[in-house]
Amino acid sequence: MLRFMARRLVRLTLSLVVVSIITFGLLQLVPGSFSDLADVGSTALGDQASSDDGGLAGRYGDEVPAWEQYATFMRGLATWDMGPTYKYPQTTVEELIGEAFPVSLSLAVPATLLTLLVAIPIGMLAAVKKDKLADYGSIFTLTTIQALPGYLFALVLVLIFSVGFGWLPVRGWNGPEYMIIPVVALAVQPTAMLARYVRSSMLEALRDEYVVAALAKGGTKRVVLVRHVLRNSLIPLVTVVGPIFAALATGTVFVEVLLGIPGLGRLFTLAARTRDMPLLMGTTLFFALVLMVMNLIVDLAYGLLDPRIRHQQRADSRWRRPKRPRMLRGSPVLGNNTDHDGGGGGSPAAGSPDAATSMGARG
Amino acid sequence: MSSLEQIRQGIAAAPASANDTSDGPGHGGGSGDRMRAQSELGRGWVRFKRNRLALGSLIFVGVLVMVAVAAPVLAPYSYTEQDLTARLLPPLADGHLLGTDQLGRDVFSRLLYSLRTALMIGFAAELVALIVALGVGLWAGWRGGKAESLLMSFTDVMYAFPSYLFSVLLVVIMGRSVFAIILAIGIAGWVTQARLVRAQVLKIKNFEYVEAARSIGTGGVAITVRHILPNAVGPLLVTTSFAIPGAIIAESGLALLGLGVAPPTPSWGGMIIDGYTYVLANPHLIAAPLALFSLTMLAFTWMGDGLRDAFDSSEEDHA
Amino acid sequence: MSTNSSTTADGRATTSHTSGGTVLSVTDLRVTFTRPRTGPGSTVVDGLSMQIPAGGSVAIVGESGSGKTVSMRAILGVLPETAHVTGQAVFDGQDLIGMPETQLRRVRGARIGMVFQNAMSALNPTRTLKVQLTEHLRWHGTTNRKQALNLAVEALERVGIPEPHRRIRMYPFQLSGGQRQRAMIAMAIAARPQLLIADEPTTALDVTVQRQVLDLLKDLRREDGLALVMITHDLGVAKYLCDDIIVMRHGHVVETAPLRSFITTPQHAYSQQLLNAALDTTTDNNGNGGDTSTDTAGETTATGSESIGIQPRAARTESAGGGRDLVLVRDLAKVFHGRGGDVPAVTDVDLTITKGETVGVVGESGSGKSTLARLLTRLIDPTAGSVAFDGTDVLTLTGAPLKAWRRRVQMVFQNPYASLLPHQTIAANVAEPLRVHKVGTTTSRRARAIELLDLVGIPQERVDQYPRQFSGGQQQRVAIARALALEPDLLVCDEPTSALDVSIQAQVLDLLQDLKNRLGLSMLFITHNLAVAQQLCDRIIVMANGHIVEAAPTQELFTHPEHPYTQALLAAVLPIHRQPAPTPGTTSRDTPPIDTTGQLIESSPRHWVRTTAHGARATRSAATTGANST
Repeated sequence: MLRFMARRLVRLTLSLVVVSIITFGLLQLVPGSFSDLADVGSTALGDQASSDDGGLAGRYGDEVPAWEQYATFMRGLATWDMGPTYKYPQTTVEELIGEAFPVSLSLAVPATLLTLLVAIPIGMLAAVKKDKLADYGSIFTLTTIQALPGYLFALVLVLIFSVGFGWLPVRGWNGPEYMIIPVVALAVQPTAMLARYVRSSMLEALRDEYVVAALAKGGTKRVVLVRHVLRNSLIPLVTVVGPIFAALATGTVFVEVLLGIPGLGRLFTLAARTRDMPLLMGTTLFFALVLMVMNLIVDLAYGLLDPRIRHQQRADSRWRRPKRPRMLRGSPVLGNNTDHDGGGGGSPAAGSPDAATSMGARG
Repeated sequence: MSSLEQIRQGIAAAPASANDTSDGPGHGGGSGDRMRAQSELGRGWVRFKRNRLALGSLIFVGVLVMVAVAAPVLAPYSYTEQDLTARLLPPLADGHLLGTDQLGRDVFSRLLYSLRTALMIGFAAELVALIVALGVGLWAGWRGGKAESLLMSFTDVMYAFPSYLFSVLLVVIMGRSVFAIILAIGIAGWVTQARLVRAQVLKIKNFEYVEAARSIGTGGVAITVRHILPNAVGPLLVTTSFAIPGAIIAESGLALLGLGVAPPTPSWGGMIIDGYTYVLANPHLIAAPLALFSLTMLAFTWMGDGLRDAFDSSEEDHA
Repeated sequence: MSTNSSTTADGRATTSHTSGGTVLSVTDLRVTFTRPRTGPGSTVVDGLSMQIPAGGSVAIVGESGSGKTVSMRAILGVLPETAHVTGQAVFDGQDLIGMPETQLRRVRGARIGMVFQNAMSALNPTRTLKVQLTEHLRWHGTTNRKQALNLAVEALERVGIPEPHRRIRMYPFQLSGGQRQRAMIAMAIAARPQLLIADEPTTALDVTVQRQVLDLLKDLRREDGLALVMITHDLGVAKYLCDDIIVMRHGHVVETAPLRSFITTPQHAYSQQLLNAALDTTTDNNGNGGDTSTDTAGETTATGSESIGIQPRAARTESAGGGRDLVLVRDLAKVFHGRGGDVPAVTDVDLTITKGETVGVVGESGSGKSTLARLLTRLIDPTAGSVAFDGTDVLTLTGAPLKAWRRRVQMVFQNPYASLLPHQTIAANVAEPLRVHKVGTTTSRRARAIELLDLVGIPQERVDQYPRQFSGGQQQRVAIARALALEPDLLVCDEPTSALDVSIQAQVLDLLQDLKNRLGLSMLFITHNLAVAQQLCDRIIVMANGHIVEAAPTQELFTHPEHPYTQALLAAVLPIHRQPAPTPGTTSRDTPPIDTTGQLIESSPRHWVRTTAHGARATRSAATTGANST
């Protein structure tokens, strides 16, 4: 367990370094200087008047070599002291992140809760009523919803509740009523995703022979459903939390920009548009860190919940990443956070203790 | 009489069922007639056609493509033509089917052109992603070893580094030309599909028929091209049909963040974010792109769903 | 001698007949499945009637798709909702069909227990045995929690699981395959039912473990007077355990008879066909083989070892003197590097195949026999050792010479459907090797393919269909035709019949036999089935844990098996026409690990055996004395 943790933490740190190098390296390719504050977003001009003064206050300057800038920044990241931004020299990167993160969190947490509360019952209902109208209806609706990005729902909600009824504010961040539209909009798409996953996961569990065995032992349908099916189908559900969180993170960027919410996503966009290197590096790495930590927690939780993985420890201290749910493959919205590793053999079922030997045991 | 002749006569006397009670996937001659000689793709198409919603979506996508191609002909106005005297007109006013925007440009015309932008970037970005993914995925899957572990660790990193962040960074670097955006979305998107290709190759590679092909003496490249690729086409088709709307969403998302195609080229994301300022008085400014955007996404999704049902081999295994 | 355990079981069973009468009486059971959207469905069971006397045992025998499993699940009402069941199933005076769910539940598990084919899937992988063995005791209100645990431990004890108090807290995947199967039986008997329905309970197990599980069921019948319905496709199993037999086919009952008379005088043609197809191992002096003690083994090895002293290893597992050596394998080893460490799959294998000879490799799962086949065909590369084919070193071949060599060695795989190219017609499949090696033109290749397909019994009008349109047996014939297309010198068959039903299996074996005689093929035949090996092979090699433990001409191996493992394998075979060999003396609950530390020595001409720990010592001393004397 500890060995696994240590290994995963090393991997996490390495990934973070790789991400930082990629980000930094890419930013080095930007034409013009970092200290050039022209907003690439608002103006279409690629050829802004490049001011090569470079003598901005702060620790970065054009005369400093790139690797040194990188080293300085990474040292700053490690000590949570990333220095002032280009755009707002009087504030530091960590201050801005520190202000924006709680805002994003106050959207993400309620959205996650809403997702879980709505999706699991819907998915279960659809599975139990398989091939009935309720099932077809919900699957159709869920597929439809899943196809659309969260910011479209935000727009629809705005059109209905702000423009139509005038109940909710159009944009801004001034109190609890400003949370409703973004939270719901963020939750809709992950809810559809999760509900479909719960359904397919339950149907899979229902097909298993131990369900027949439990029925043949005299269990009522309800007892078998709760004791065997639900339990087993909810364990792999932990694995969807990672992608869902990633979807939320993605969603916050667009929803925040659209609705004018001063969260991390808007900060990142601002940094990107102004090519504010310290701020862009800071927000990117912070995003990556949050996602990696979430994935780590998910993998740990999975290991603790599934005895097959828990007890595999002695033989094989390297946990395999649980197979990502089928449902998530091919979702247009999720981008690369869905895992297509179908052939990797990392599924919990394949992760039986003797899976390692099965390769040699063909005969 | 040799047993061979017995077998032959047995088959002649009682075709299929009497002699062979096996549970083979097809049952003798009867089903053979129904399922005419067809390739995998042909069979998938037959199944796909049965799904009305999917077929309708395919037709709708076809219509969209044609509209996008013919946008210059269909659009009543130019997308740049400003008429500052006729700003923010409501729909159906003054010969503007969907009204005008804050600069007095015809919303309907801009909608058609933004469809053109979206589809062009969607298809092109996916093409970029697909080419890279096929190359890398086939190579990593077939050769294994270093190439494979490199791909896997790279995707592991990308896993914690959402593709939209990557796209945004690339746009920041490359600027806001159409070409740059196509590359930014394509480069950010190939990893997923490369993994899928690799997974497919690994799966098919372990099938006995690939072993059989090797034991015959077929070379690695020939096996990949003749045996593995044709059987991976179905799943690839499915992911591609989901990846194209994904790329369109990415394009609109970038525009929404102010990092899309440089204005005045219209884009749904740009139209939405511009119109949002006037949403209370002129909801049609965002309602129109919203509706077309949603319809496009849904058509692609239902089409992809139909393809998945038609080509997903694991469904067949259960049947 | 007729006082084997099966007859004693019969004797006890008859005594309980008088007290009980009939446990279960099924009349005209029909099961139809409706398909969700396409309306009327298929009838899977069509008029099954059967009687099970108290303490009696009935075998339901049939090939896959015959409706045997469905019928039993229908009786317990555990089929999916799409199933429509009619008929009568009177259990203890009450009709189970159409009984309200609440009442039926009291029968399930409490009075009728069920055992499934695969314990790995029939036991919930995420719950401990404790949960799964006690929950139904509490559902039925039999006992309280504590008492239930005691009962469950007792049940585990009865099925022969060591340390039941500790094991009951384990998860199913922590047990070995045999123990898992026992645990599932314990689950079924924990509530002390009167009737046990066992659905192919041993099919997924290796033969030696199969015998143990069957003996356990036999004991339960004898001690508890448990009535038993045994669903199986294996007549040997049916005969070993049951009094009566019901043969089913396509949902119909073909024949119902007492087993003893069924075997001598089957009434129906299909029964006859099944009996003919079922292969028995035959040994002329049955029983002697099993008696060979380690002492005599030690003696024979001692005598035979002299030849080793003179010409070490050169003649290892040597074959008939006359023919030329086609394949010469020396010290072949393969180690797989997995996540859990290195797994040796094949260790120090020496093997010779002469022209025209058929060599069988027999072993249980994990013995390395399939790996050996893939090493010989160079589908995988060995870790060490050498393979020579007709004088050339196979392992150094690359490029064109390798491709040319591949022409001469062809392979037939276990799963015919998976080994055929699914996207090509069978004619194209058969012509594919010719195409790869650029033999002939498109038309001549097609003509050759049609000719070959005709040779294996596929009519010309079907050659343009796809593999999926054929049954399993036909697919295997296509695969054989493909393997023959290049007129190979050696055919390597990896379990070519084990995915097929018995009657089909017999046809494929006949075909191979016939081809062998006509074309003078050399063959390496991998199988787990001793009877299959006996029918087809000239010489048999027994493998365990990647080692050769014994190698001898077929007749010699079956009459004088010397290695304890070979003896155990032979003893575990359940013959149909003869009495089974008595259960090996020790009622060992788990198969002891096979000793492969010794060395191979020639105990009698062309009969090689690996010495056991005891024998090895004897050999060494004998070898040294032998060396000294020369």
